[in-house]
Amino acid sequence: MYIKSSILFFLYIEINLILLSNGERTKDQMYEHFDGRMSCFRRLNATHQIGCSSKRDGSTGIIHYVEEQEDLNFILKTGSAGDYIPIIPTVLLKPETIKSLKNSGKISGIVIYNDNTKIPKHYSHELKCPNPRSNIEKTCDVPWNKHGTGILHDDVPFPIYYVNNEEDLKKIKDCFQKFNNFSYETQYTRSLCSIELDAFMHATTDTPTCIRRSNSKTNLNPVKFCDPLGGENVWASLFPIENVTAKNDAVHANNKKYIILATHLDTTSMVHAAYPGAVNPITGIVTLLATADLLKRMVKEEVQYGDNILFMLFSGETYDYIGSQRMVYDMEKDEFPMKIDPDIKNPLPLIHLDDISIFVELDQLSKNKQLFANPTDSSNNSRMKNFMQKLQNYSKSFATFMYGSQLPPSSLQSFVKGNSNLSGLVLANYRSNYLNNYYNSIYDNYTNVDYQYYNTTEDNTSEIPFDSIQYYTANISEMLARSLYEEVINKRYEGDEKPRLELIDELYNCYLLNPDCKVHQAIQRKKLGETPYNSYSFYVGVTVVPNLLTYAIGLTLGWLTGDIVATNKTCIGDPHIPVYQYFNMSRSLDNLNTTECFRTTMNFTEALSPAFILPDYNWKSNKYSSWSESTWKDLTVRMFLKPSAAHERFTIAIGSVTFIMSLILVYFVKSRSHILFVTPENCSPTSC
Amino acid sequence: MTVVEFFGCTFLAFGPPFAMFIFTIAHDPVRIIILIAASFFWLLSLLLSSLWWFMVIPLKGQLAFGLVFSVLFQEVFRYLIYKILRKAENGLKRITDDSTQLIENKHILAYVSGLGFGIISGAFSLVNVVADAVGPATMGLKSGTEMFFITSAATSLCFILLHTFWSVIFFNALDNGNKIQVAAVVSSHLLVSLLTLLNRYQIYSATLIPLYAIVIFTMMCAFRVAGGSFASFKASVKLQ
Repeated sequence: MYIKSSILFFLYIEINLILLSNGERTKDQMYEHFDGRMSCFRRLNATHQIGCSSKRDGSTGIIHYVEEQEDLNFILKTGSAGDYIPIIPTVLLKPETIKSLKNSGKISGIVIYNDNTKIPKHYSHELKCPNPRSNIEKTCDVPWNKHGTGILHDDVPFPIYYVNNEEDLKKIKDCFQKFNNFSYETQYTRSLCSIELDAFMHATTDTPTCIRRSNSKTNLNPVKFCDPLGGENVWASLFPIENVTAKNDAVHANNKKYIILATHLDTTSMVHAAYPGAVNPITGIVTLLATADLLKRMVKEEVQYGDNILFMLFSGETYDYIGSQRMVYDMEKDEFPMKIDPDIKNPLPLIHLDDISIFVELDQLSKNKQLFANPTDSSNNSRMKNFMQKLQNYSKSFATFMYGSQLPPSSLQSFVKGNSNLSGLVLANYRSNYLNNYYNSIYDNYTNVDYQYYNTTEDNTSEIPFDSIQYYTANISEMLARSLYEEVINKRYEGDEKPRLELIDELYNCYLLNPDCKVHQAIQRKKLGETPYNSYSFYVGVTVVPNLLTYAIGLTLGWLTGDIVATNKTCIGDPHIPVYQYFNMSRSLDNLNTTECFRTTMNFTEALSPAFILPDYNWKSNKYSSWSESTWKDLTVRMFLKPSAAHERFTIAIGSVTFIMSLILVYFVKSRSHILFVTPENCSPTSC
Repeated sequence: MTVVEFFGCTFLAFGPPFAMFIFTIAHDPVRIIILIAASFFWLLSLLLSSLWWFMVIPLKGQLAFGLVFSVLFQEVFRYLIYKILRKAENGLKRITDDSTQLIENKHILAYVSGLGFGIISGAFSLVNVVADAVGPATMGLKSGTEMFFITSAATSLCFILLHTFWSVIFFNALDNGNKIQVAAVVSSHLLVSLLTLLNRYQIYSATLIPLYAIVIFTMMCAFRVAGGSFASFKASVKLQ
């Protein structure tokens, strides 16, 4: 007992010693760690790998800080001390640069930084025609994204890291000035400031290869090399879809038609964790949410309606229309809105492609004097003409409404592929070239849509100027809501519901600036700002990691289109009436603390490409999106001083010489010890 | 520090003690036991030093305070192992093969326990540095110079050798009741330890040169104490 307690006492003391001792270690003095998340990584499709990867243990190179193209040429010509990692401004990230760096053989990675004095006029590494493999014919005759360099779709043989932090950039620059930036001829003789980029990607070649390797039966401890891209689609209906009483009715007897108002949820960029996506997709999402909100208020009193309206937000559209392809697949397979479940008494009627009367898609909708409707080929019917006429009438106050010539790359492409007779249009602010010069890039941020947060209340929105993005979005949503109202109710709207500017202001704030905004508080999704980057972003991500932003947007749609119900105390849905979902959410933006039970028609459906579900899918067919994302262990970046070869040789020489000399000396002393030391027989210690 | 530097530093710090171990200790199990026992006593002194440092909260930041007491604790434990070894002599006689040499020549016990003290203290002072240092970098980014590792290794070697010599002198002085030599050992240990405080100013030559001067001086003293003389040195060289 005594021993036990004393051991415990010592253990306690030791643990305290470890915890309380000041943990300044030598390592901390040697390395400067940066947040390495903003690294370029690898994606794969059925035939290629794109993106970047470092070497297995990280790629190391000597820092060379570049301001102009000449600096880069200089180091490529004169660099003599091994591999370099140039720190280049974003402007220099061009296909030519990548090519020359690739060919030089002296480069082991790139770090890019944002030079505020030199913001590029246009910056898009997406292809000139996004999603070329999944569009209908002739779509790619037009260079939609005319400034696109396509680097995003290159296989870059070295890692790329983005420093988005002034402080870190200054550290790198100072280190470069102190150790590297003088007498370049003798660089190899001294210790140099270096940087290590560790972003090793486990997958290679293409998705089928990676899946085959991941499923390898010979491996006892299976390793996953890649995950399919995907997430969740969000949908809601304006009027609740009436559930049917008999199962047969669900499959056949539904002569209800639907108007779909859709947009997409995702963007991409060169580096991980930097997906601002202001014009694409945020303008579209906010316009859709504002329209849904206004429509819901407009039809409050209506009982009779013609077509129902479905709001749909698709995930993964940037990567070959993952979400919309899956939606079309589900509709074809009788699985939308949900599979017929024998246990459910009142299933929802199935919705098929034929049931879509009009498909309206919202694409990039940043401020422009002109608004374009790009219709599908089979929109030449009287109903579509009529609908477009309505749009035109309601747009007169703020924009010239014009007809585009061709269907741009959009979710509608997937639906047209499924049903070529579909009438629909893509509403956007461009005709054949994107106005957005920063399409799918790190510069597509709040300045690109000219957004400023006004933090207004419902009663006082006068601060918001008429030429702001908030007003522009409000105008479009009013135009859409009024036209759609006429389309489903069959009469002109005479009420006085208006788009809510404070809501639009708040929504932009949520998606562009502050994830902890009022709307997210209202839908009881607090502290989204603290979630890790990859689970809250406008990048589609992988299906194994839920994207919290998709859920937040879905709940927002549910909140805006839902009804407050007083009777349902527990606020839990009835599994036999799957049409409704219940959530506790705040009453309104100005009254966040009072929660009510909302009955919504909002639902999520899986947005995983059918290519990953079909057991014998032919990858070569290109029918469905085949994008997957490589797995990685970690993304880290650290800066340090790399010793010169001369110093290393000096150290090992001194060590080895000392070791060998001491062996000889000790052996000598040992063998002569009887002579060297007079033994005590002859001499007592005292006399020595 | 790179792998090359890692081996350079390890060879420098632990090469000489390794040679001493191979040629003078390894053949006799009793010597190995004594070596380990001595290392254990040094560890106990480390534990006590750290407890003391831990308890005296207001002076935690003062390196010199902990250092002075650590030196004193080490010397106390050197005295304890001396006492124990002298007590254990009779027992040792029974189990060792060449008892005559080990017991007759008291300096061997002193040398072995001193080396035990030295090796463990060298290991503890260098292992933290070396363990942190496996990687592509060297010192000098935020503070320090690239000479940091090699000077750390050299200092460790210095302390390993000093502990060996100090033990020889210390044991002998206690045998003969020579208080001046005991005081000399303690004070030189203190002096050498305080000298390393200069390392924070990164003038490594200011530390290393005096340190090695003291090593050579102590070595000569220990040599004389152990029964060597200039004449015997000359004789041994001539015989070759």
